[in-house]
Amino acid sequence: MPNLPTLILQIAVILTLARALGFLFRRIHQPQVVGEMVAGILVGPSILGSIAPHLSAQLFPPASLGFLSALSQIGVLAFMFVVGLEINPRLLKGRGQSAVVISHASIVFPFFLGASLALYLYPRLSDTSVGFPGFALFLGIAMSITAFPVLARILRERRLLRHPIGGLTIACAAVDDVTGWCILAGVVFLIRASDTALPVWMTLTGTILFALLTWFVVRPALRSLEIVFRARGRMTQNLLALILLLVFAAAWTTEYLGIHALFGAFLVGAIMPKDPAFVKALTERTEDLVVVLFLPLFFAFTGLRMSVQVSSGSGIWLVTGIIIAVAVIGKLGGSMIAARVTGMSWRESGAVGILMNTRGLVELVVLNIGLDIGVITPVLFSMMVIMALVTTFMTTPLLALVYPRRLLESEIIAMETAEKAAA
Amino acid sequence: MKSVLIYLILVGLPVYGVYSIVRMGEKLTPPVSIGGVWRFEAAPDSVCGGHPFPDSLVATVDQSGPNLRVQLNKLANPLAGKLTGTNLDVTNGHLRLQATLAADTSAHAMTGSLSGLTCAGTLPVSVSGKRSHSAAGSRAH
Repeated sequence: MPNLPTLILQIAVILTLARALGFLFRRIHQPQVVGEMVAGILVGPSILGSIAPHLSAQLFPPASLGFLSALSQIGVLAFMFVVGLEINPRLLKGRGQSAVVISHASIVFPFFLGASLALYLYPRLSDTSVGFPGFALFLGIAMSITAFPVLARILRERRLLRHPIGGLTIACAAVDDVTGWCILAGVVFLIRASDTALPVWMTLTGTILFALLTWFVVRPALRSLEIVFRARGRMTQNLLALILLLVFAAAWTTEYLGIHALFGAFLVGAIMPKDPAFVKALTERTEDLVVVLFLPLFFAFTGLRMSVQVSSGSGIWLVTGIIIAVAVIGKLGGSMIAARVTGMSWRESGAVGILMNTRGLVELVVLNIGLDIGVITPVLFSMMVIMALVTTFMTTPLLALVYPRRLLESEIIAMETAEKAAA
Repeated sequence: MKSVLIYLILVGLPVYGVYSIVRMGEKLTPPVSIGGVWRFEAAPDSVCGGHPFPDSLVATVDQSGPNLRVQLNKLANPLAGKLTGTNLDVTNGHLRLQATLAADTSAHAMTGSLSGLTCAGTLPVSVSGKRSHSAAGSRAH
């Protein structure tokens, strides 16, 4: 049984800190989610545990973390469903070719650099319980992630979705997300193949069958949800309950198959009907609770899993610096070069690279999967979390430097004027 | 045609690079995995500064490459150190654990000694440990 007073106190502390830091970060023109991520790290052993070990031990006793973990896992399942829900094939309309080239290059190039970095990190931060292919492939995919939800928020806040750069970047991020999660599912499958209760052939066949069933049977059937929604004129509780049941059923299936529960949740979100009113109603019903309550708990749980004690010393910061440099060169550089090759100017290519380099909380989700399946150690996990924070934090100031707000807005106004004149 | 060429260069080459790196990395030898929970048995009636060593010790080993952090029973200060090959050497300034992993590759047993650094003239206590729970397994579940 959970110790209810402790759990309530933990949630209260986490929420207060998350809201406060979210507010402060917004004041310095950062997305609120960056402040919430920092709040999560603050309550972990690396910060609160070092400054006030007794308070930390009283507030977050190890025995209580299981309940916090369960709550945050449910929250992340719901979050991955929302991420999938926001993916819309219409984003690719008119820019499919460039989006696919830029997106795939922006995955493969950091993937290559991440795998190269694994040659250096494997003997230093891993051990014989993990094979090199799994380690290298996981590091590669962890370097390749773009945070679609954070990116969408940044673009919306800066009114960039009406600019061609914003439109192209959001399309690339959508392709990135789908491709990235498919690759990650494969990597997790490879790593867990020897671990799972099911034989490999059954996992593989089961996954293919599940994907086919989802695409060819469940997806067409889901259109009836949209019809019911239109008939009722709102998202009823029964409709919502049915959708949540589908999410949990898919999550259970993918977890049972030995990939990860999150893939099922993401897949159900991705195949949901994309009628804007339906998506808006469903997002509104689920997103608030997820963003306000569950995600801060997930960030805190992530912070509580961080550990910089095992290899304390200056070496840890040097390696963290190398990881950040590789991540930025791979993602920002890869996307920028691909955008330039497909015909954009250097300034526009730079902006696309900077935006695609945003990793945000999706990276944290991926890293937690890596820690769960044992492919990365807590120390490497901590370094990668810092990388995720730094790369997300740098997006807004770098974008302002490369593409000043005034220039962007004048271009948007010029485009809108030209469109009106043409009409 | 141009798009296909661009795609092949931007995507195909790095994919081939990843394949080569994975092949190259398979030759690397990482440190032996010893993370997890170990149960040690010490020689009976061993004392340090008038206090008997507990004859049963539980050590939780956190490992990151060759770097180790060992939480021994409920000691306030964990022991830290390195694993060099099959030799473990960790200390917290008061206690020092030195041990060698068993010759088999499974790394589920070790033998060595535990010394009280603050008890002058006391001989190190022989200890032998067996891994009851591996870190990779506990992280995976």
